[in-house]
Amino acid sequence: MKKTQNFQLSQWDETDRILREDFNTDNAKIDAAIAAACPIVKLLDITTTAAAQQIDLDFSNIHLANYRKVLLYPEISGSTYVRLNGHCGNQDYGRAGCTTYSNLGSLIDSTKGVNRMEFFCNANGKVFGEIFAVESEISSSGILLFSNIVTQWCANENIVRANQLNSINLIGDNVLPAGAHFTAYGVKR
Amino acid sequence: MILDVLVCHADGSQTLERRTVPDSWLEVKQTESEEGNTSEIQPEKKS
Repeated sequence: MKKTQNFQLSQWDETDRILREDFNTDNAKIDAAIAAACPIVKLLDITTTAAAQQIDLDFSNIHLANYRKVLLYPEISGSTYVRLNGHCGNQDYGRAGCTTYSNLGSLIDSTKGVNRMEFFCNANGKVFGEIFAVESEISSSGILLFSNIVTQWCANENIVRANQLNSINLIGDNVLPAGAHFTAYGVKR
Repeated sequence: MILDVLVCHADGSQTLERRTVPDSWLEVKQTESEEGNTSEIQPEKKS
């Protein structure tokens, strides 16, 4: 049986037998080739099924150094703030302005706007990130109000490095209801 | 203090844990590096 030039996929002639194994082999090659060609991979897709004041996203199998960046889209009712690996020291997270914080930033209520988080690391394993939080509403006088908050942060390298990032901690001001949705994507290097 | 924490894994499984955390866990603190001062503040953005 003939094969295609690049991926050696089956090319049947009239006299060739049609076998299930050939289809399975071809489909496995196609699946692998598409996955290898796609620059973005979905890492996480979770909808919470219980209420809790804190949600921990397990990142222990997501290796930040393997990606240019990891994008996390939290959809969560109620405002929350974010920590890594449960670290809450007041000098654990740096932000612009020579100020350190006990969290890396806050998310807005997704019923009012949209959040996007980005995580990345440099060659030395330092962890950095950004939070984009945008929201809009119509004021009582009918004016469209829009706010855009960008928080750029870095983690204290003494507490979290890229190969140690195990959990993203989302702590609610109040109990966070079930139904929060999280998707994460990795952008390949 | 005791907190309910929902741990979400990449495979979609979830576990609700009752976890003991420091009383300061729900506080948000910041330090101005030039001053070295530490203060407790409210979260930056409240809805």
